[in-house]
Amino acid sequence: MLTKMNYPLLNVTTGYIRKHVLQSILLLIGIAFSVALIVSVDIANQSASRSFSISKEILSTKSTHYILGAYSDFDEEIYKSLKLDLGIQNIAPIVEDYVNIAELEGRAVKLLGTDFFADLIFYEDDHSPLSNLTQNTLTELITRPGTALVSPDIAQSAGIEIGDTLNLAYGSQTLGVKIVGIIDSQNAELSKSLGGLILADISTAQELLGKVGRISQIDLVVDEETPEGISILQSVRDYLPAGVEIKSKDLLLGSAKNLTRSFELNLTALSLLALFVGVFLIYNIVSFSVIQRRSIIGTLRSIGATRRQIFKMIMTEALAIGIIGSLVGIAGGIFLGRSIVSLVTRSINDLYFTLTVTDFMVSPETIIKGLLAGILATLFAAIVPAYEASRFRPINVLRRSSFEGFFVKSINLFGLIGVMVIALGYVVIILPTKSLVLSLISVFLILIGASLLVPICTTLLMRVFSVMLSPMGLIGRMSPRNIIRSTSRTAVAIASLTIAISVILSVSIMIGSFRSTVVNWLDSALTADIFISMDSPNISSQEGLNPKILDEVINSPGVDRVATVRRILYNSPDYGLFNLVAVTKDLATENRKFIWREVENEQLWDQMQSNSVLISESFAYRNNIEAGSDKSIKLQTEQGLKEFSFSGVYYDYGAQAGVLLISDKLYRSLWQDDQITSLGVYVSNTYPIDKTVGELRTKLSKYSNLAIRSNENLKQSAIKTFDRTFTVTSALRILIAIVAFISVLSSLMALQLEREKEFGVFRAIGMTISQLRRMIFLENGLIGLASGLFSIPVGVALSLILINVINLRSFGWTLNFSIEPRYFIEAMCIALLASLAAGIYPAYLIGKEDVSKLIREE
Amino acid sequence: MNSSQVLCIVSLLLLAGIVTSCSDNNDSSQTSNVAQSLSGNDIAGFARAEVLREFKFPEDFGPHPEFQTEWWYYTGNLSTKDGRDFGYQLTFFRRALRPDKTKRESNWASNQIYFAHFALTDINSGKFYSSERWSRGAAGLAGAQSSPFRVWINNWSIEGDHQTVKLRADDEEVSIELSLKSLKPIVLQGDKGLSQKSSDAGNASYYFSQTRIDSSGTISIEGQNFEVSGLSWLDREWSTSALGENQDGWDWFSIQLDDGREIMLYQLRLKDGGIDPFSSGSLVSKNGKLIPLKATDFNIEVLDTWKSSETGIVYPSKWGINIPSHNIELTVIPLLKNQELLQTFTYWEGAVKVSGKDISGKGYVELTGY
Repeated sequence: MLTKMNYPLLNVTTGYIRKHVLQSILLLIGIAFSVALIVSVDIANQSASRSFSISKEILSTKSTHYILGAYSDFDEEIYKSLKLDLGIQNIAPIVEDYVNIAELEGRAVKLLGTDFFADLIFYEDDHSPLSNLTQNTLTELITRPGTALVSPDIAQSAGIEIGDTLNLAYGSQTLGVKIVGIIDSQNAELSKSLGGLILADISTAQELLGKVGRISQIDLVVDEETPEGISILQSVRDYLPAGVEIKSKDLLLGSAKNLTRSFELNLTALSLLALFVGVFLIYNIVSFSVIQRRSIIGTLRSIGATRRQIFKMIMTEALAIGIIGSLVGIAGGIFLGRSIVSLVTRSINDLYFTLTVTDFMVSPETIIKGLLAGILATLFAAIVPAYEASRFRPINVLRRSSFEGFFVKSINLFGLIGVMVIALGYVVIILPTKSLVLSLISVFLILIGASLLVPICTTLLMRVFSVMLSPMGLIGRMSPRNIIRSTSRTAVAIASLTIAISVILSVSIMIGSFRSTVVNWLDSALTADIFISMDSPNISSQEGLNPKILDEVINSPGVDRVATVRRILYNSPDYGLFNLVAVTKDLATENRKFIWREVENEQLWDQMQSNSVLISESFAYRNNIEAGSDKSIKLQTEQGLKEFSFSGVYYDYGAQAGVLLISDKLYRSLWQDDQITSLGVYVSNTYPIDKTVGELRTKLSKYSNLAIRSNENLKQSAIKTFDRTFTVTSALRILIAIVAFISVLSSLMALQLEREKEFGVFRAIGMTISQLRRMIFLENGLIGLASGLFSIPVGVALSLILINVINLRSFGWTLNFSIEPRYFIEAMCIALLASLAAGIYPAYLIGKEDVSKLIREE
Repeated sequence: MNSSQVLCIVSLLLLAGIVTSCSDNNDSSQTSNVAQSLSGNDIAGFARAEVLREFKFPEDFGPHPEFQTEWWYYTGNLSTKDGRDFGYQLTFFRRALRPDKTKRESNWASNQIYFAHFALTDINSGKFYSSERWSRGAAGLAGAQSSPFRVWINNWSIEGDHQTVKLRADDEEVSIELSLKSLKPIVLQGDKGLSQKSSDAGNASYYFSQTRIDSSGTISIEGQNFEVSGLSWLDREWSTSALGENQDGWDWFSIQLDDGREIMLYQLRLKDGGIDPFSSGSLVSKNGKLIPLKATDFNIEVLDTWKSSETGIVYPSKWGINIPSHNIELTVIPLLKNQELLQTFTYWEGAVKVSGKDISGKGYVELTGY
């Protein structure tokens, strides 16, 4: 474009940019920020997804299938039979669980034991992590108990060398592991995956993890495309006992990844909102640059520049700044991405599954996405101003009113279209679907509709203000009218501020509602006085407390009774992955709040004794289990396949995978499992709880990694986890506020700067500098106020969608809508602050300009 | 794809120090071989073959874990009724990583490694198949026991009592299932079963053989089954460090003559190109009587060579064998030139035919360290 442009036009562009550096910088920052948000969120999502793959696939990059138990490890004899009786060669056994490295503040890693002979077939040959080990190391590893290998990363961070012992927290014990070698691989991915892992011989892993005779997983390499592969899979399926299944790796990883998809999609939507606000900003600044050059553009037109050339000139300018801004934004996004990645992976660890590896990756697609978003948004936003510029006729270029006239005539039409777009958005929401993408589209429709309504609402509101402010005299009457007079730009500024403030407001309301819902839920769910669980448990680990602890607790002074919780991860062919939680009566039904239940709380417990279970809301939502549903679930127990009916759906905001609540008695009778995940202790009325906590801590000090917390304490830590989960959302909210702030700052500043001649006239007819300054601040204040007022209905509407539609579709959680005045005060403050701040520079300039210079052209 | 990497890992596990260079573009792992792998240096704590011992059967068919290395070596020449000829090799090796065994809870804990080679020569179609298996000697995946006699890795196995056994092995394209019945008594090789491999005391193995075993069963190649019968040969050997520092490898011959006699010869090649005086052999008479042969009793002359297109290694491929004291003069020719095993260790082991004046027979030859 540039090369084809005439030199005079190029000079106009560069000359303008030189003279208006501040505006160009604001534009650049605006674009850069919007792009940075898109890029950083994309990096976070992709990195999280890759962290997941690396954490899960670990070494078996070639394996195509996994053999897994439905809820636990399985008999090692199965592996032997596959090898000996079925003669299947491409299989490898794995014994694993999550542990926490004591030396690294409890960093979660997988202790993975495998049979090095079997696994030879699975490594990508070029990068076998074992290839650099000496024969002595391997001999030690295989023949000495309690030995393991670690990655250079873990060794360095923990400050250990070969021969040292690394301490691993596992359940209520600490495992000392002697490090006999360091493993690394030239393959970057493999090298990373080793960073989340402590590699041991399968015998060692069995002994350390207390899984002698059991294995966690069998990896397979089978080509499903060949008849041999199909027959192998069939023979394996036929052979495997009930409760042990073979699953395709892709399917398994895919379904786990789906869990986090909603979470990631929400973040993407937030980053798109920032871009949406950015488009307004670009529009404002480009359109201002056009207005400022009315005369020169008019001159150019009169000396023969074509409309096309003018259009091109403006678009090229925008494109150039768009490209630079996008590039800066990409760099910023990569920088920002680091923090967002860690926030996102932490949330995934809290909500979904344990990630042992945090990968940071910037893919070329991310960069292309950022660049395209920045450039397209810029070009899109510049079309209207560029078109406006190209329509300037040499005669009336000095008058802004030609376009303004058109705009004013159209505000009713805009309003009408706005109403229609909002209506469309509403229709999209009420469609009977669970599609998250559709609900996000409706959010955007409502925002677009609201922006289209802003001009007419602004005009109406300013008329009201004009009457209300008339006691203030001339300035009070003038300011609102000034805003009406230049609606084409004030409305855009107000719209962009309204959108930004509404988004901020709605996210605040959503998080606030969420938080208050969770707090209420915790109050009803946590009924015991003291809770004993593992410190920093891994969401993906099944390991429980030492069962001996129960007896010790029961026999402690002051303890009235003890309730137990056993949580295991269950993988059902029909219902996917969920938490199977067995509880004793005290924790089962007493205070639980139900969406529906077959009988009253008091009778539920009895019903649960006869093969009936309760399910959490997210479980019900995900699996379409409606009130009074006669669906049932078949679970593989040690007594064979058993069928369970659902007697109720209760509110739960814990694990996102969903919960199936079963009576402890029933669970223990069907599964041979004596483990306990946590204990709820009820203290006698007469005994002080704090004293009991202290006594229990002393008594149980011989068990490591125990967290003994009072009810209050546990609630606080649960809320802390909750807040942590929303850190990333809050961070994005602040970034959107920054984009909005810059947008308003630049557009309002431009608006005021553009009026220098007008101010000159005002000065000439006798207005003082301080009167003009008051006018500037009053106008900006009105704009901020208008935006703040408009954002209230829009923000509340958005928050309703977020809470009732998007949250439900993403997580399957019903939240109670709760509003606090401070959200509105906050929103209003941001609006006013941004708009008033935008007046500072123009007000300062007013005092410096020479009146005669300002009006010389007149 | 760099298969040498994989080979390296396994070699590292097994080779006690001899193979040191495992760098990427180096053929050393390709040429690392059985001879090298069995030349361990860390032998402290293992029993050694230093004195004569009393052999007990069937116990000695089972493992001797106090020694570092042990093998069960079956080879044989088989044919169908209509004269289609096959050669086979099924060998199980045991290797101890450490002499002491810590008492441990896990069934997977072990200081023993097993590996096996299975090769099949389809002489008429000129095809040679070979494969291997590895496993720890634990968790029921691999092991050896004397009563009932069983040596196995996964689904490859030798089972039975020591007089009659069943051999089973398979790979993607081929499988074998044979019933074996020894036609002659066990013979103790070397000095009453103590086979000295170099002048160093303890550089020796305990060694016995079944030299004529009636064999029948089924060979399957690419889906086609062949009912076969013929003769097999078993070598049982266990030791700790059986090769001396200056030894390079060996040529080993097992020959079953049509007149009912068998000859076993091995020639230990020295690094300087000479032949170790501890090379030896035996002649088994028709009634099973063993006559030991010293290095000076026989002469082996290489008459031809064959160069492997896969590895570039040049192997001897035709021999003249002369045992003057017994008036035996034989020419030994491979039934197929390419019987090179390209497994973790590369070596040549193949079916041969033997001819001489008024005499003929079949056998197996093993060439290591080339």
